[in-house]
Amino acid sequence: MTACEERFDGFVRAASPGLLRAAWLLVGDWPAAEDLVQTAFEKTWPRWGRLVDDKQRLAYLYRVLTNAFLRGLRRKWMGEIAAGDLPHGAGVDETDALVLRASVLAAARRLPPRQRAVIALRYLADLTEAQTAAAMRCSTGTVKGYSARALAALRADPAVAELFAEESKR
Amino acid sequence: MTDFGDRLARVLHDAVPEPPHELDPSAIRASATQRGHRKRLLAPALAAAAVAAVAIGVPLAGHQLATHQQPGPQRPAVPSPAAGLTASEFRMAPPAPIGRRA
Repeated sequence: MTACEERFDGFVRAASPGLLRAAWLLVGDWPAAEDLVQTAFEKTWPRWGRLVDDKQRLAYLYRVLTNAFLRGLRRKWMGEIAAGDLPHGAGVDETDALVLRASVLAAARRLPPRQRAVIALRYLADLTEAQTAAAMRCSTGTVKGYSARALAALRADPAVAELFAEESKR
Repeated sequence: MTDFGDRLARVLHDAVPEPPHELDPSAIRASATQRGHRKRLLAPALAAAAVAAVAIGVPLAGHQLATHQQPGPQRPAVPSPAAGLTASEFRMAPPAPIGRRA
C-alpha cells in the first residue's frame, strides 16, 4: 500500500462517522446513507492528490455528498419518510429527552430537501455558513434564507415547540 | 447561531445515532478505480456516437428542409416603366386598374 493510500484510508476512518450521520439525517436510513457517503469518497479519491489538506478534502466531500443527495432526489424520491405520530406534551420524566429527539428528527425529515441539507450541514456537521454555502454551491445569503425557513418550520412544529419549551423551563 | 439553533444542534448531536458499520477504505478505492476505468472506456464511445449523430443528422436535416421547403409568396409585380417616360413622370402616372397588370 502506498503512503497516499494509507493517508486516504486513515482519512476515511476519521471522517466517515460524521459524514454518515449527516447523510443519515438527509436520507433517513443507514444503507442509503452508506451509499451516499461511499459515492462521495469514490469521487474524492481520484482528486486526492489535488486536495492539499484535510480541510479541503472534507469540504469537497460535503460538496459531493450534498450534490449527490440533491441529484438523487431528482431521479427518485428518497426524502420524506413517514414518521408515526409521536407522543408529545408529556410531563417531566425520563422519556422527555427521547421524545424530544424523536420529534426533532421527525420534524427535520418533513423539511424540504435543501432546508434539511442546511440543517444537517450547519447544526449536525457543524459547518459554518460559508462552508455550507460551498457544499451546496450557493451563496451564504441563500444558506441564511434556507436556515431561517427551516428553523421557523421546526419552531412552528407543535411537538418540537412544546418540548423545547418544557426543556427550557427545567 | 441563535438560542434555538444552539439547542437544535445539541438535540441533533444526541438524537442522530452512531453509524452501525465502518466503511471499508480499500473497497472504496477499488470501486473508485473501477468507476475510473468505466469512464475512460465509455467517454470515447460516447464522443464517437455524438460525432456520428451530428455527421448523419445535419445533412439529413438539411435534405429534409430542402425537400419540404415551400416556395415563398410571390412578390407583387412591379410594373416596368413605360418606354419614353422619365422616372418622375412614371411616378406621377395614375396607377394601373386592379386586376390588370402591365
